[in-house]
Amino acid sequence: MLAVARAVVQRDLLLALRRRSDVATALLFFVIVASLFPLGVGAEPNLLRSIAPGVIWVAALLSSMLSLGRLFAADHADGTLEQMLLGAAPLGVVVTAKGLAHWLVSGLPLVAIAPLIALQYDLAPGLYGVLALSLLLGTPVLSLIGAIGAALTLGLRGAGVLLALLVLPLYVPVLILGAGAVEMAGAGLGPEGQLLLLGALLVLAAAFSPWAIAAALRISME
Amino acid sequence: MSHGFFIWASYGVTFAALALEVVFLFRRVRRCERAGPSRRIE
Amino acid sequence: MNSTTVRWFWFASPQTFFPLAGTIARWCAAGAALLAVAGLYVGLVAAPTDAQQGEVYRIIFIHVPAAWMSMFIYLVMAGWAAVGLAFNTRLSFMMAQALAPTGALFTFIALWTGSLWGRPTWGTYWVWDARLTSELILLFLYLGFMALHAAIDEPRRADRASALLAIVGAVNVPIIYYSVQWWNTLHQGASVSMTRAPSMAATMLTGMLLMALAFWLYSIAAVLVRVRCMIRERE
Repeated sequence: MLAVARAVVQRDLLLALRRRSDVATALLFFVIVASLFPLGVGAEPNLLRSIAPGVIWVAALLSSMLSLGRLFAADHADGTLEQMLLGAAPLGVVVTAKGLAHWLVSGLPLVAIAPLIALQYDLAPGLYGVLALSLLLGTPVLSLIGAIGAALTLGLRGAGVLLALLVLPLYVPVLILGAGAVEMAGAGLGPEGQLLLLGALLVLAAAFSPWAIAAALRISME
Repeated sequence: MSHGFFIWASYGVTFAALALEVVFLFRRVRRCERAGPSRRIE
Repeated sequence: MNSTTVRWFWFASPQTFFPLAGTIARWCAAGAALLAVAGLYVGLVAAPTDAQQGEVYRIIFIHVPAAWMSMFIYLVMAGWAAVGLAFNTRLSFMMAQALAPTGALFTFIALWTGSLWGRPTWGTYWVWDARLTSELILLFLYLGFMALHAAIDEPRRADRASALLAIVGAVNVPIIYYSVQWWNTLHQGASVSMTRAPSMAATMLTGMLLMALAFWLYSIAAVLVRVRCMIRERE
């Protein structure tokens, strides 16, 4: 089972490497969205410092959502997905591996780029760690929940926008906890609660979403 | 705006919305019946 | 096949369910009308004027029951979705589809009345309190459910996909509710929740319960009529 998982992860990473521009575009989107807010609300430092956690998290949500379309589309187009459904390996393992590869390419870079955005917003230095940790815990959850949506909207016309409508309400707890963690740390109240809850969400998502994603794929592909 | 306005607007829109739902349901029923009884139900 | 199995699934067939649905719908519609009259009497006439909020608090007699229904209907919808996926019965999926518009409507009513209650009491038409924000997200969940079903042409895939979405949503609703509640306390501190009604006099509770029951029976009637139409349309 692990061999299958490793093979799928390697394959997806290789494919992503070949299509570097797709990956880079989603990350660039993250930066652009975060840069838009000061243009909209004004560059007053106190304001920016207070909205920084929320803005960075919303930008992460949107970027994650945009990159979800790529998760199953390519494999669906060339028939690999059908093979995965028919294959001997448990579908849950395969989709988890795909989700992991997707997160490594679309979610983990957000964790790395976020401090740069935080710099733009003049976030207090002590909060960078909490921000990175909250994103580290939260972005996998976004990938996993988003994968359910991606599987349900596979091949539909207008899938991108529909995916957004389906998945964004489900993203709300992650957003609240993630941004909340940074805000609590900023207020000196300690982010442990929020981070632990984020961790709990991650465990829940990791435990149950593979089943949901596999079920959704079967529904979309029959 | 007197407080009465808010009460009227709340109750009014609520029952108007419910009435609209009922109207739409009845129109849908009439459309089904006009299509004739299906072979399997009746 | 033993007799227990037959009895469980007797009404799972659209043909046998159709007349039953009609009968239940008629009785529930009548009951809803009666309960609504009783509830409105209690709410608008019998219940005393509130010391702080005056007459405006009477909106509670619609706002809270509508909010209750919106959440209850979503759970029932997810329940039918689960039954449909588990037993592969067409009628279960139709029930889930039939519940969605009524549920979305009650969510809208809860939001509308909540907004209008907020204006005279708190000064703004929209208050980011936990209940209203959760209702807003619930509305998005309903709309997403209906949008997904509408976006898929093939009926079987549409039914099953939206059913799965409903279940995922239902699992998430408690998580969403509690995270929004925590968010609300963080950002508003000790400010009063707008949905905490003036301390409940017994009459107020009676009024709310009557309206809630009225809404419930109305929902049953509307949903059953809708599902009967869907049976006709699909069979």
